[in-house]
Amino acid sequence: MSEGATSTRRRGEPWVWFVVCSIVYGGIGWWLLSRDLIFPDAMSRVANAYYVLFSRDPHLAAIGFVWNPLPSLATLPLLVFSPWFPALASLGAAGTIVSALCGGGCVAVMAVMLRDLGVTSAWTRNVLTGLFAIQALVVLSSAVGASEAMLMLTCSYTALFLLRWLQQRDPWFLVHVGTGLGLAYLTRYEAGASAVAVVLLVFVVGVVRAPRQRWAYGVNDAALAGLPFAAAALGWAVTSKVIVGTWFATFTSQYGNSAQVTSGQASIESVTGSGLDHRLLYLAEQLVHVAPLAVPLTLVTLAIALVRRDTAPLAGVAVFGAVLAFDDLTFALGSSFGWIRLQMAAIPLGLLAMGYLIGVARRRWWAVLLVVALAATTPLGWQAEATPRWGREEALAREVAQAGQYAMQRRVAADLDALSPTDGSIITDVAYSFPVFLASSHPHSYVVTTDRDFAAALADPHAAGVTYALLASPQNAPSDAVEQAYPGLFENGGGVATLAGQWQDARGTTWRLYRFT
Amino acid sequence: MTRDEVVVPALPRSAAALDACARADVAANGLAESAPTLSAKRVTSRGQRIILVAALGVVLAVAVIAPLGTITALIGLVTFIYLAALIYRGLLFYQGMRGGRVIRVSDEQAHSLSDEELPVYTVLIPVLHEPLIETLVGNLQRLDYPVDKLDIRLLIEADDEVTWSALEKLDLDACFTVVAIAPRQPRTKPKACNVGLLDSRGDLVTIYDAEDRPEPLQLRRAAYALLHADPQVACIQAQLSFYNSRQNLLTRWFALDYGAWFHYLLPGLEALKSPIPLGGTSNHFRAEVLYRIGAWDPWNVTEDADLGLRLHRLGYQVEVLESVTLEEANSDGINWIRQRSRWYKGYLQTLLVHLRRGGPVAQRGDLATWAGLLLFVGGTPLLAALNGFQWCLTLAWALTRSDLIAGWFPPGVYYVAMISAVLGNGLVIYFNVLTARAMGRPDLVWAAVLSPGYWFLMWLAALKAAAQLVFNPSYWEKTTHGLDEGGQHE
Repeated sequence: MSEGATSTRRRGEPWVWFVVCSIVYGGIGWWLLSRDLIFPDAMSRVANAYYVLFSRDPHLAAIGFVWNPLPSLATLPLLVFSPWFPALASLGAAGTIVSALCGGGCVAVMAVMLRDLGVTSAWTRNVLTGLFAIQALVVLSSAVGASEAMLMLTCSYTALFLLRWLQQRDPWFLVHVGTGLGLAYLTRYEAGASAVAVVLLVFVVGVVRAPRQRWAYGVNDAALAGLPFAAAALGWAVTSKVIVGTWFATFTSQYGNSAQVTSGQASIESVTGSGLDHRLLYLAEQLVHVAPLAVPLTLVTLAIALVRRDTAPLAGVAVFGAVLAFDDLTFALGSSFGWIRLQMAAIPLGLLAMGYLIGVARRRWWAVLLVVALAATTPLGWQAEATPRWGREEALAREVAQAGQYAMQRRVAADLDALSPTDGSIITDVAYSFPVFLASSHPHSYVVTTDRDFAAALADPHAAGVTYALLASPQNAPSDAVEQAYPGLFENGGGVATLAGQWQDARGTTWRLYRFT
Repeated sequence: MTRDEVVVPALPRSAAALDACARADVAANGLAESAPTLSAKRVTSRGQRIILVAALGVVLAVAVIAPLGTITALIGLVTFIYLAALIYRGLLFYQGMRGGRVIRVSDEQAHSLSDEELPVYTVLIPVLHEPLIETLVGNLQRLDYPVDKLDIRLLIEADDEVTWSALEKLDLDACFTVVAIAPRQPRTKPKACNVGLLDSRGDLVTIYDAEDRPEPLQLRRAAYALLHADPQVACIQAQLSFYNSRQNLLTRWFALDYGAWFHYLLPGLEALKSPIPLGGTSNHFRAEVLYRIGAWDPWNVTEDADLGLRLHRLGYQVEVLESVTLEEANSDGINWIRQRSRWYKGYLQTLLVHLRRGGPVAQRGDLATWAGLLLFVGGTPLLAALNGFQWCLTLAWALTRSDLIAGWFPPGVYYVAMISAVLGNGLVIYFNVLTARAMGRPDLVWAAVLSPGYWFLMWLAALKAAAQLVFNPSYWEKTTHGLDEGGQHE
């Protein structure tokens, strides 16, 4: 009986982690939102889902193609309730709920993986899991609604089943690996790097292990792991091509990552310094704060694995190592913002290395040493978050909240609602005005970028019944579609409109409403 | 209608004493006379005809009034069926992947029964126009079973000169009996099997096709399994595989098809307690039960599938035995289509039979039975038929971007159709890749990726089947054997 009870408790362990962490992350997230400490990327993903349901022209393609769709899709079912709980949309709380659940899920999967790696002591396992759960980036990503939490969940799911396949060889596990990779790609494109690494690993291991027909087994195993990813990537690219005419909008769209990095290059370099050497130094500093033990422990793990001819530790390395390498490489090459959150994959990478080393060594003092080391380095991450040099987005969020930007944008929404505009009478580029749109109680008043008649309405506002244009200063909205159609509109009406209202926060972020003449 | 009121058909044991002609008559019409609703002799019952005609009338009438709405509604309905069948397949696969239920009898266990303990085994071999009968006899002589307990019955149509002349050259062992089947309608394999059964002496009965190569211990394993099984287990199905699967792309596809069937779908059906449509050969029965339930329906061209469903309705169970019979995979496209269209036609016949009054609603009104009947037995030919149309529609739209076609798909239907098209096709290809791996046949992975070509053939077969169901319901498409190259691959 007692044995059964123990094993039930062990099986329940991950569930406890999931529930507790999800609630705590959700609570922290709500606390942050209630102070307007909003993470704009998270809110814009919620906005993408909101257009699908509540814009004037609700259709699935309104979810947009600049960002991979899963984080937005996941908020869709929650947003259905936003008419009764407006904060789900107006504060982006739907995103926080999703990220908190993903964060809790990721912690739970880590607990399972530590067990599978041979951390048999429940005490050690739970302390390690707990330390993982309180890492600054894990907590913040799970609390603010960012897509990192979902990326970490899908990646850890992939890593778990990759580990099981490496250990137990049942091809069914590769189905989970493939599913995980496909979902990870639909969450964030850097998962593509994981997919390449995992498929290569599976192919090589498949070839080496096969009793006969080596190449065929390698291809078959690699196909099981890679096909769902390939289908997800291809499906997403083709859908994007069919609907917006480009295969990879994030690299080509005026709102995409590449465009943002290009336009933000000066401000990025003002912090990180320019040139490869400065960037590498900056990355090293970040890594030292986020997970100082990750890289050295991973190297030790790989050396031991090589000696022991053990493939198990390759699971974490292939999945998380690839994401980390991709994010660091793109920054080193100058095509990424180099946010500290992009180093997040180092945290599970380090944790899994620790788990493997503890499982292999089976020495109590060794386990204690590693646990103490992880505990001792945990505050570094929090310190980095509080320091503007590394926690750049976090510092900006604090500034924006203090300046009252979101409060001001909610006022814009309320003032426009008070005008009782007719449906489709205000045109705006929601790539920038999404906080206003999310806060409005009459979203149908707006003609937004995702509407299929947006271009026509922009070309001839009168004919389309559009009376107003809402836009931010070009400094805040560098590629606003309305401003681009009517150059000088923000400055002085561009000869086609007269100023009908203006709002400004303490940092000088300005919104203007123009009335077409 | 309660369970007790259900007509339980039976073949009279006394028929053994009749002359050949009378026996053939019992074999042909025994089931149809004792339990007309259970036989496909009448393709549709009167109620079914009324419902079908009324449904057709309503659709036509509505189509005249609101053509666009009707098309949309039909497309919506098809999409819904698709999705349901897809989810059910996924579920079966998942269950099968988790192991399902397969009986394993070790070599020691198979040999543990002494010759005295072993039951008399009747092996029915329906043969038609089969010049290769010598190979067949050779394969059967490899069976490890005491000769005096074997009752091998070659069932040959009386007017089948090809087989008779091939037979003349052979010197058969005492355990062989040659049964001449009197030339009476319907001239089908199940009727021949019924004739063969009527004066057989076995306690257990199995069927092999002429080209089959059963694993030598199969009879002993099946005997052991049936002696040790619950009495409700009326039949044990051995696994089928192909000896010429490397011959060409078609045989590779076919091998994957069977691989998925015996590795996942069959164990999955069993795990879900759904009825199991039996495969055409290597099913091992208790003779007693076969008599009691009326044996094979001679009017159904997939009498095996029908029998599986009838067993389920009457409360019996079917289990899967880990023992392989090698068959010849159909390597010729036209020949394959003939065979597959017969299967599809038979599945449709079976669906209609089991949807009649006193069907599974009355007898086993559980969800698993319904899902198995509608989504599996009915769904298999239906989806194969619809699949082609859906592809044509998608292609037509992709090429013309016609607003007319776009108008047939309102958003709700469109998204579901889109998801089932992309996800459904993708998943089935992926399942095939997995099947190749589970079969230990990684060389089939390319065939798995090229599966849509196989679906095209399935579509042709399904169209042929639908047409034939209307115009020639009980016509048996004979599959030509001996098209493998030398027949000794693997």
